Amino acid sequence: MLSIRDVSVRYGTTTAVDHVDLHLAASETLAILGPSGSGKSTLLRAVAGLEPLAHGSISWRGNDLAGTPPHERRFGLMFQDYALFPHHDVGRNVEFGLRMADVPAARRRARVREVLDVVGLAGFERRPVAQLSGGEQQRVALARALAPDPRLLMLDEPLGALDRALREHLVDELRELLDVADVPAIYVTHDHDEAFTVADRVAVMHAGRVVQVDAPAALWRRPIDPRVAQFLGFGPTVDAIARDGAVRTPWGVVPCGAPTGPVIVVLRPGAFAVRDGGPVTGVVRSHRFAGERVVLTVDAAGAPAVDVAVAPTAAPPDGTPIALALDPDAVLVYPRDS
Amino acid sequence: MTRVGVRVAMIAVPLAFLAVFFVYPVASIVGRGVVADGSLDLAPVADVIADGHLRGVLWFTTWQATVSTLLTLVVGLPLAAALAQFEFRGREVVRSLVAVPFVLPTVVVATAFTAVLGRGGPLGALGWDRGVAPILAAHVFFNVAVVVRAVGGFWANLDPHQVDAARVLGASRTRAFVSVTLPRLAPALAAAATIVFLFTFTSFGVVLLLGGPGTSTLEVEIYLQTARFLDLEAAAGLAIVQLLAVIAVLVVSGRFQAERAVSQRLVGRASTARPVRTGTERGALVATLVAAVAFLGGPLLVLVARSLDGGLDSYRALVRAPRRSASFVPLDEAIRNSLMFAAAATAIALVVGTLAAVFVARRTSRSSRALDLLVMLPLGTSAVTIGFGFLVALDEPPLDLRTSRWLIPIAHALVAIPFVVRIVVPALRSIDPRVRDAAAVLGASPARVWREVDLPITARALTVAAGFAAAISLGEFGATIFIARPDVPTVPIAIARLLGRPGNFGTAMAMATVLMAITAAVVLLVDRVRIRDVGEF
Repeated sequence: MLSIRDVSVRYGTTTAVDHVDLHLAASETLAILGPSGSGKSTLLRAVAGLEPLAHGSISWRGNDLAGTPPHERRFGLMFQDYALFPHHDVGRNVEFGLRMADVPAARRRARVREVLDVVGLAGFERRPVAQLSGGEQQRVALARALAPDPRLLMLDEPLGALDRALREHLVDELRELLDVADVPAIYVTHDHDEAFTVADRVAVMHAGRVVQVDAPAALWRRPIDPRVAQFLGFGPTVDAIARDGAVRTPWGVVPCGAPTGPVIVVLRPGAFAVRDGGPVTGVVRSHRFAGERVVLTVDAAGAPAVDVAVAPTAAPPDGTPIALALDPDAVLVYPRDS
Repeated sequence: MTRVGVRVAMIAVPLAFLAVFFVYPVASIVGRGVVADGSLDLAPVADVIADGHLRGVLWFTTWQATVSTLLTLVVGLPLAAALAQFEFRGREVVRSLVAVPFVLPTVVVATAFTAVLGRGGPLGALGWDRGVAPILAAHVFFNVAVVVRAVGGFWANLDPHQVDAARVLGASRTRAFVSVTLPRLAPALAAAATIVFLFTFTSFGVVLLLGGPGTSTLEVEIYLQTARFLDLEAAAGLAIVQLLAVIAVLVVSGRFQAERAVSQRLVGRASTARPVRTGTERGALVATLVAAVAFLGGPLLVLVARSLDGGLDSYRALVRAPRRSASFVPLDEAIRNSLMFAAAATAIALVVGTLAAVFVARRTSRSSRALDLLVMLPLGTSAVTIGFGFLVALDEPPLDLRTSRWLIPIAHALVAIPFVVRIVVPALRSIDPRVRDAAAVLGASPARVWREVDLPITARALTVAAGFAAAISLGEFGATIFIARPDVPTVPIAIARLLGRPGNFGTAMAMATVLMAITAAVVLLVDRVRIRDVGEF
């Protein structure tokens, strides 16, 4: 449906988006994941037609969009912090795109009622937007983007400004909504949990470039480089040497397919488990309560500290000696350019 | 047309307007002053220094402006302090009253002060009918609003805890004021003093109508040299000297303010104002407020009261007066002229000012700052210079507009445009640019975005700007007097004529009262214009 080919966007001398290629299939949801400043919002604005391209092309069903201004693209964009019209009430905000498309008043009213119902704001038509809570504003922004039946829906950090509990609740709702709406969507976020929940595929951006595009499970199993792994919360990361199909890590020797030479070793979260008589021994330095699990930080002898999750009832006090086992599957080995 | 094309066309309108009706006339004045028979000749400018009479004019202009500024500060500061520091009933009313003189026509104020200080007036016995005293009084009357707004507004946002700290450390109330509050007010004081000095340095109507022999400012002298002595070279020399003086004041004041600008902890107004606590405070507050209300409201009340001295006779004389001579025009005709000019001037100022504001507000580039400066220049140039410039530049080919009815509204618009831009720019800047993007993505073309987003959100500012422009046009005197045709006078011109001829004072007061009422009506009509809404100028 949407093809982004070799696209670059520049602000003056800085390159915000650097030769990006992305393709989106019908009714697919693609997440663009990256730290702030990685160019993901700029890419979205370029697709919307709000930023001129310095290089490359964006096309829809094979038609180049270069000559199509934003208001003729029929793409929906939900802005970070929502950008609701402050001088309109909820109904007028949601109705805006329908008015621009010259939809008759009666059908506009019906559609506004319908989408407000979908986002759980039935009866909010006459509320001034200034009086809404953050979560309600987010829903209005989503309803406004959905109302004119866009050919493509783009969401820029749609949950970024909300508190954690609301975010976790809304992200599931969003996933369902996107499934039901059956519209291709691009979802920009810096939160990998959010990206994994919502998206069919995830594109990881760094410094203006797309460094990896994969399904969430594949991305989690094998981040393309240590930087992506660290961005996903993997760690600790250590330098090591691979030799004869194995790598010697501070926590023991682990088999690997890497050729002989210097490597970088990154551990996936959950790489360690408590096991009596396990090969890695250490002392519990501190513990952190994380709901149904307790995360222990363990100082292993002569190695960087590692985290291990245990059931709260099984948590030993700080200072207790402890034995751990390392899951060889959770050890990611990358070649190191010396 | 392409988007770029539309943008260029939009910016071309204000640029062309200012180039033709501001830059070209001012350049013509400069040309008149320094070029004679095709070669450089600085004699007209040098004469301002060499000629004893003109040197006297320059001296009077400077000292009366200095004294007016100091007096305005002395009168305005207690009021600014009272409004900034104390919470009392009627505070908003006093605040609004203080702002009233700012929109009143100079002619009305001059008539009001003549009504108070002249023969038969309540203070007529002082013998301050004409001369320096009424000029200074009227200047203070006009400019108290500037001090109260600029200094009072700043004062109200100063953190009161610093004064508390000084008091706890052993400073007396006076000592704390002198060593803590005053230094922190310095930038605001300097800004207010600069504005008041410029306004009084370029004062025209007040000086022309209330002055006597020996009280001629540069502005008045430009007019006299032009209208009485037909010496355009001398007038041009004076105008150049005035322009240079204004630029010098702005530069010096800008330097001072840049040096003194310290980042200060400012707090919200609500947390700094407090109720009066002691009897002394109450006494001082009441005395300040009574004096302010009497000084600002008194002249206007006296004007209305004395215009009614003979019942409605003076008013009847206005309408019934036969059109005997070219110089007397019945009131209804003058009102019609004024309203038509005001409508046209408001329309021009809104269109040109808003287009300029769109450019100034959307960009922070060097070109937008340059345009910002260009549209503000007419404010520092004085209305008389604009009128004189029109006279010099626009009455001969290539641009002969002498007989055009548009000349007056264009001049008025030029005076009003800086205010329109200053009012509209902050409103436009308050719009989140992504709201415009959101409208575009939802299918609004650039023109539609303007209509659906910018226009409704700035509607209030545009209304305020329209009211301001109309009020400015209705009261404009300095430029109009140069270019108004004798048979098509505006109300201020008609009043000035009446004041200039003995035996017509009653009629003049009646007409001034009517003009005051019209101005007030316009201002109220456009939804209680709050002068405090006006941005920095």
